[in-house]
Amino acid sequence: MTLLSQVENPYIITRLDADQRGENLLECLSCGACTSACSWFDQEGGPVPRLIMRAALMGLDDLIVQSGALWDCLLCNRCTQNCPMGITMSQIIGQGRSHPDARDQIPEDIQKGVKTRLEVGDVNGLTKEEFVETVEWLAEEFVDEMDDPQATIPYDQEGSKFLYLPNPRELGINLLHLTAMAKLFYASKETWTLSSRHTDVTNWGYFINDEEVARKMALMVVEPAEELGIETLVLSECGHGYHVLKTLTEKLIGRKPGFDVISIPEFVMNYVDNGVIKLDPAIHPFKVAYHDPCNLARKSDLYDPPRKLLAHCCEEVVELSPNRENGICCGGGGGMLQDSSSKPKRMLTGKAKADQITAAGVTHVAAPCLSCHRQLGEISAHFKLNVAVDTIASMASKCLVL
Amino acid sequence: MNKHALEEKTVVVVGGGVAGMSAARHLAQHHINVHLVEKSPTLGGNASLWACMATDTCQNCGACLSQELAQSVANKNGISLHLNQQVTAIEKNEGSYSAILDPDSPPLKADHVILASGFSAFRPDGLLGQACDAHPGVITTNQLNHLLTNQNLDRFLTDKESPRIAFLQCVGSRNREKKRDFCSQVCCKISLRHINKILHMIPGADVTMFYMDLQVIGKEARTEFGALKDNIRLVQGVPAEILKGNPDNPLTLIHENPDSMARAASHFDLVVLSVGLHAQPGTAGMVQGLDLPVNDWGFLTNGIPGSSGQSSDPGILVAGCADGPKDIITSVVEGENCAHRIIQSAAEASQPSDPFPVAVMGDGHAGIETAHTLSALGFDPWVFGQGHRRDLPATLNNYIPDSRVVSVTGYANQYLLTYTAGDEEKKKSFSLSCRAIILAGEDQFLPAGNDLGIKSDKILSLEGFASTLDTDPEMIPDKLAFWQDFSGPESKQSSRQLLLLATRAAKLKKTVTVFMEKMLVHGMDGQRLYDEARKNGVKFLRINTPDDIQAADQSDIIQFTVKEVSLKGMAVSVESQWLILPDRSVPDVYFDALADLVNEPLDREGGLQSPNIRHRLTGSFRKGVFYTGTGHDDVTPDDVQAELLNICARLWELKHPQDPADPGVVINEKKCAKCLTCLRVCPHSAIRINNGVKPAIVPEACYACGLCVANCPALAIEKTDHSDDEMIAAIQKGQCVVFACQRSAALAAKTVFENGTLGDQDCQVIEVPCACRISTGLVLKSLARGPEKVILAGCHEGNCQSHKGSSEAQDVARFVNSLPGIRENQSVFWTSAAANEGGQLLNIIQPS
Repeated sequence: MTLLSQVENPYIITRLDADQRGENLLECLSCGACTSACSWFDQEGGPVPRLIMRAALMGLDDLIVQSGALWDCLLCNRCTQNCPMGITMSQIIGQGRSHPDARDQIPEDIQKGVKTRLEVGDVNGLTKEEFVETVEWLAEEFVDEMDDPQATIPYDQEGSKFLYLPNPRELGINLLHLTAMAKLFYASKETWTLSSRHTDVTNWGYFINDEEVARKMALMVVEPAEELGIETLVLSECGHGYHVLKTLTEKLIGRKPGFDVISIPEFVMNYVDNGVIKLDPAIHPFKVAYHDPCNLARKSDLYDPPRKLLAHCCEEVVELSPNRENGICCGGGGGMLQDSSSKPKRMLTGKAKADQITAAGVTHVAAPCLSCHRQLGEISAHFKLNVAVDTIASMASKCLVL
Repeated sequence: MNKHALEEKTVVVVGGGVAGMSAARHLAQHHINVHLVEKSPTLGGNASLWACMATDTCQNCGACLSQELAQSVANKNGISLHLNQQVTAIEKNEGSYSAILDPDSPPLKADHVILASGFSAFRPDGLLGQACDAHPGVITTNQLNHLLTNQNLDRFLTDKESPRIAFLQCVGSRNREKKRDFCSQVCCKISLRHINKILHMIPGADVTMFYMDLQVIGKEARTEFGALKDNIRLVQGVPAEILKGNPDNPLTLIHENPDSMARAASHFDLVVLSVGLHAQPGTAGMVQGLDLPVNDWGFLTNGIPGSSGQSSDPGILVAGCADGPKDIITSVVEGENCAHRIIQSAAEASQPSDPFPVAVMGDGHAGIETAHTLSALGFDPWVFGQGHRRDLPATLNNYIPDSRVVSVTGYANQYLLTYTAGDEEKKKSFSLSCRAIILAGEDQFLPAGNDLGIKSDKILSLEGFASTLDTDPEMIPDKLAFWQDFSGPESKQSSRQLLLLATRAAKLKKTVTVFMEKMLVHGMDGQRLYDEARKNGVKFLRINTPDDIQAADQSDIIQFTVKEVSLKGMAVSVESQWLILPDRSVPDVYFDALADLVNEPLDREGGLQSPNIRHRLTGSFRKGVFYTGTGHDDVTPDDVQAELLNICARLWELKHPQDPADPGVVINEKKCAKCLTCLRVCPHSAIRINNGVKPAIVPEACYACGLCVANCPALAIEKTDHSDDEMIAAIQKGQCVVFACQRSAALAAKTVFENGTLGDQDCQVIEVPCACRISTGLVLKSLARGPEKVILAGCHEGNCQSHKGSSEAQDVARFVNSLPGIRENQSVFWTSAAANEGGQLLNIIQPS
């Protein structure tokens, strides 16, 4: 928090429609449980959740805008998890981020990403032509790798059962990851496809709390998927992408999309359960700690399928403490990871996670979210944790018995 | 009274905790057949698991009453105990009831059922993070009680001179996410008593209390808190998670630093979770099929405010925590009240009505309510006014508005009041014979002082605002501010009135701000009112001290600048056109004189009635003298109704005395020197003077404590059932002898004998009616039989039913030790031991 010094002029309570601001913001008891649970908890500075809640409740918009808290908040909702009245912090921060006076606080990378995504369809600006070229090249390699002429990385295949929605990194700096995912679909023996019309699981409209932007981005996913006539949309491992597409889409676009939404670890786990996909845990003969991404776990109630899948891919799953709904954010949530200038701050917010990993005494950590994955890798290097970081689906892909 | 009508009745009491036992005891005293069903193997309920909170003095928690009740219930004719049995259902057929039992036994048939199924303590599993669940340093209130009872706390905090101990309030209370969004009412007070006890045991302990809104309320609670608060750290804000640390700092709590506003980590050796009181899970199931509403939280509810004990089924009564969290003493009283309702209804038809005058001192709210209630139940109230109200309903015949009671003599059933009344010039003296006296004194409500520099036409009292709201709502401006604790600590009544008024104003679309140091919710009703106010948009700004608010009167508006607790280092600005302040409530000036008249003490805050739990909520050291109203406790009108029911139960006892009272104390006229020492020392005013000179015992007033026996210089007063010689006859050489008060130390000793830690050969326990019965002579006589040591054991100071028992016995011990030939402190000891302090007593008998 930057603006904590005594001010000359008192803040003036201006707005009285606090009840519009969250489902039950008015019911705040000022108990301070939120502050105690904040992911910044053993760090200097950072947002003080109770202050934000109380300021929002009193209509002290200026204070919130000037607090410096808006883009320091990780939107992890750990405070909300502990709130005895269930007041949703991410909603309050969201309103602050979309406040007219706070527009200039949106990190430059995020502003740029939003613009590119809306214009090109991909947050990194990958065009349709580049997409097709990349995927076709990958598909050729895939045939060789699988030593099977039928093996393929299809796109725009109408009537496929599954549509895979990748993370932009899978078509940029991390192409191997897309191949790894293709292997999983191959092993499932199901029809699947990519779509050249949309390539991106992310929805940064969520970070800037611009409902119109978020709606457009959601429709960029929903409409082509419906036109392809798929049954199920399989999401790349992405925390906020899952949260938006799984839990917020209906509200955003005003209707239920015509398909189911699952994450790729859930997809794989289904096929492990019915015996089609076989995994060899001996590929990873070590213990792996599981990290709960806030967007999947606390915010979307997805706890067990990725854990179960991980258990099939290594010697033993180690729980970090605390975990599940009380899990600690990797330190890159709320759009912080998407802002390249935030690294020094993320090494502060990641401290709690680093301590947790150290306490668990593991050499490997896995998370079903590519953002968490990147942040965990960075804190491992920064705090010299010496742990290797992977995603769950990627580990599964390596364990495939074909 | 028609005894047969009562003997034919059968009542099933569900639950053997303090409420159930109290009900059963009272019913059995009136010859009603009782089935007392308790699911555990022993009587006592939750209260029996609680530690004694006494330090040098009793802290008035009432936990020891459970032992005393269990003792009296277990040995009572007419009570059938069903231990290890649970009532799973209650069936109603044509006005009678059957309680179905598990394990399967024949159903119990009854005319009435008293539900006293109590509460269960919240289990905090998983609530405060995973460190909490398995860590030995994180304990609940109940576990702390266990450690205290077993004297394991010091062992637990080994080698630490200043152990760091945190108390976390509202664990599992005021939590909507856990579907427990009510205030459990008793936990703040329990924690304060625990802290007091720990600081007494470990003076160096470094104690921090984390709270939401500290509920400091009730008899002498503010005085106790005042003495404690400078020795502990108080932090507003409740940590939500406990983190595991290292051996040096085993536990870490993250919270807001109350001084800066930064997030702070504090390290502790022990964390006590003050867990909430929740509905007993079986209660709702038990009443399925009956027309008894259960609220969202699983508590029984009848929706009738102030209807202590009643349910919506006339044959079923509810006592104790089955309808919401309560403290021990209130639960005991409710048990009695339920029993009384049954007795009264059974005996009603056959009851001819004799005149039964009762003097009611006070014509405030409680006085008038008292008069109404007494009239309705066939008593004859005489109201002695303090000039509060003059236009009373015509139904109250005997109202003397401007009276001065000059003297009170006599005793229960035969009081004589002398009073003057009439105009100044024509003042006359009168007298009234009455059977009982009710002191219904009301606190004085003075207008809040105004040193804010605000014009007085902008400041209203709650009453003033309420009447404007009723009569002239369009007069009310758009912006309103209330300041809850402006006039000092808020009372339960004023905080509830404030919440209601603030909500009403908010519903009229007014902008309403409430300034407060804390919100006094205290229970389910208060929390509901607070929730309602917040939901309707009333803003609550929290301050630390009155200095955190600056006010500037700017002709049409008052401009407040407020340092809100959660916005450290900042100030917010609030505008308001009116400021509404609760009145200041203080003990009335005449309380002193009133207490003098009836020869009763005041409490430490100048309120009527001693805090001694042996007589509360409504009784006194003197039979036939009762208390109700704000003058003796922080009560709402609903509480007054419950108090009045209890008073009526006791008046009923006076009206229908049971077996003729024989205190077993006689004055031997031949030996009596008529020095009147007995008259002077008797704490119960149970000595009268016959023919102007001869003292005599009044059986109706006597508690048989034996203080007069021990104090009579001529040895003229004798206890017929326990003569000195009889008592000491069994003492053998070399033995340890304990003279033990029957209400405290004797019960504690019993537990030690029962669990086999001590045998008869080790120790001779001699039960006495009260520690004051242990005279110097008795101790010397027993020393002559050559015991190894003599222990005088009784109640903690302040807990003695006869007021002075403990201090008298201490004097005796001191005196005997000062006598030549007695080696100091080697053979005669005094110790206080409550009924629930068997372990402590054992330590004295057999020091390890």
